[in-house]
Amino acid sequence: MSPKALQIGSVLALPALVAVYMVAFALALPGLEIATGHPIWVLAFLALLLVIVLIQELRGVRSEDQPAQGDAVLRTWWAVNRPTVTMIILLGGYALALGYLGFYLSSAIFTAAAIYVLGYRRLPIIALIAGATVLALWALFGELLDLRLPNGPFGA
Amino acid sequence: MEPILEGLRLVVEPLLLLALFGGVVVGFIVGVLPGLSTSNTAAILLPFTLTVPVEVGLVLIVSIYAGAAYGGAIPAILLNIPGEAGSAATALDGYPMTRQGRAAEALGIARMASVIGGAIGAGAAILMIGPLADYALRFGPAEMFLLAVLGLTVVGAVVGDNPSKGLFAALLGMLIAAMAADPFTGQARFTMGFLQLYEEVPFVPALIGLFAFTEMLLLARQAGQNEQLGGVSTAGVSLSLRAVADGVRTTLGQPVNVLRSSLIGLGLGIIPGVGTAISNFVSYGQARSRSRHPELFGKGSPEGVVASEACDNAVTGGAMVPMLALGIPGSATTAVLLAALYLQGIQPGPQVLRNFPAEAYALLIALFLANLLILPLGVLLASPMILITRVKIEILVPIVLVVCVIGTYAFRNSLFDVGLAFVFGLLGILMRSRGFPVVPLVLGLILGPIAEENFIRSLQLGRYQAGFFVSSTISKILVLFLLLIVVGAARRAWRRRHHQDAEPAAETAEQAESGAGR
Repeated sequence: MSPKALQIGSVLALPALVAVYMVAFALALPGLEIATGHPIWVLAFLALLLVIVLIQELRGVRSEDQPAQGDAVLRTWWAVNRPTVTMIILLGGYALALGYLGFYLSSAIFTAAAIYVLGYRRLPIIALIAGATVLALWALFGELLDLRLPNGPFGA
Repeated sequence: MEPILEGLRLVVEPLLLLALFGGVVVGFIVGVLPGLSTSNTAAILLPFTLTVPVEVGLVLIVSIYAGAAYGGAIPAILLNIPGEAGSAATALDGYPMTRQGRAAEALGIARMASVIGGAIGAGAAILMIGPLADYALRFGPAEMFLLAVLGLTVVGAVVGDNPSKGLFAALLGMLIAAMAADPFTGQARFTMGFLQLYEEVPFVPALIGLFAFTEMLLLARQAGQNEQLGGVSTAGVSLSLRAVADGVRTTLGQPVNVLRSSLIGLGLGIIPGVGTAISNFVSYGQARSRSRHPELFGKGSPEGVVASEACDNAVTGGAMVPMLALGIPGSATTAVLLAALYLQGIQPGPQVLRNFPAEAYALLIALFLANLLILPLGVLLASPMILITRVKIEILVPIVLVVCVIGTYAFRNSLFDVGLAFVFGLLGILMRSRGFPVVPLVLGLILGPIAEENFIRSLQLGRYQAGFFVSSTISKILVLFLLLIVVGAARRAWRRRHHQDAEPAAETAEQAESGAGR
């Protein structure tokens, strides 16, 4: 992939996502009775600003210097953002696992895995921190505030 | 006077005093840790505040707000890393003082300036809120609609470098907020079959996702880099009480600087969206231009630290005024506080002093007291706070994320909310990576339903005539302000574009010249 295409892709990601969301929202409106037109004028102004923002962003891409090789750009991006991307995947996994594994297991695994992935390598300390975090949260939410924690195979 | 005394009576309850104390300590920690801002912490603690009595939860958030405003000065002075945006100007003179071996004096100056500035800001807010709310009682639905739109426009146009992106974010927030039942017909609007969205998009997951998840996931990029910063720079710092007391005396010896900086913070804090960072530098600039020794600024001038810190804490009081009296938050943290008030069943705005006078004044009195607590707690906790600057990001980020996830779940015992927070977190990362500010989106989420409700009521009252929106003098003034802000934002955007166009042209001309000279 060419470096320019990568740049344009990164610039267009958010506007494209918002545009899809707006179209989906707009398609859901005809079936509704809209006496006041509230979401319609919000959609109209947002569409106008989307065009303005898109023009600005694409102008920005045009005026920027031609970057180095496409794979070099990708490599630099990955080197900087690898921890964020990994944490997003781990966090998504944790959110899903909460329903199946419950609070204790999923929270301990996530805490330990995240600390390790972010570069801390002293395993006994990692285990201690994961255990202490789960214990502290159980004490605060489960005992002190008497709130329900996600259920799992161990009943909580 | 009666409501103020009622508010005071609420605050002097033992549980509230404990919340006040705890909040200031948490605020210090938050301020000291770069990356964990006040608004993020307020968002993280939001589910927790909903499980305790209303006053306790709200006092906790305002005391964190006050504590963090001072706490941010500690890493700014010791490490040259502002813990909060409002401490950016503090680093300009605070860090040079540390390098001259005057760290304790600088911290003493910051502490006293924060106390006085914060007390002036909160005290003035207590006096101003009544008359402003009285005047705001004249606001009908049309004025309230215009006020909500004005708030969104101001914040959208002022926050961030690009007004178009700010306004885009504000409108996106309004559209997301519209994913709920139509308040007029009750029909579900693009809720995608999720019953959880029928009432409204829940604030807690939205705020945790946009503030806390986004911040922590982006902070993960710095993992492994903070060890040297904290460990090396603060290792040799010693805090003698005598030097701290010298700093306190230095601040007390500059009453004009303290008062001017506090008033600047108060005034700019009242304007929604201006934020602490801008007011901080305005105050610093004023102090330098009026100083007898402007040449010392940036080289360890105590006047610079006083100006920055007094202003930073005064902003907290100023930002509370529009939030309580008009329902328009002046900063990201007051936006979270606004959400907390709604979730507790307290609707900020013109009616707040009529319906919840004790709670409203209790909030401001708590802010006042929290600012006074900075001095003794600041002395007591100075050394542990230095240790906190050495916390490793690779340990901090996972723990904060787990607290956020469990806090989000505990709010309604809903895994849907956890998923929603995750989605908002991804949106926040996408937005911030392309320079779209997140605060206008949050305001759009909060003010969107208010704008819609008042829009509908205005249309009904005005028999669907658009002229009703500008029928009163107040609404005409609000429309005028709105137009001025839009024109100002357009001018700013045009200048920015012109500047961008001019730069490459100038570079080309320079290259041509240098080429010709060769």
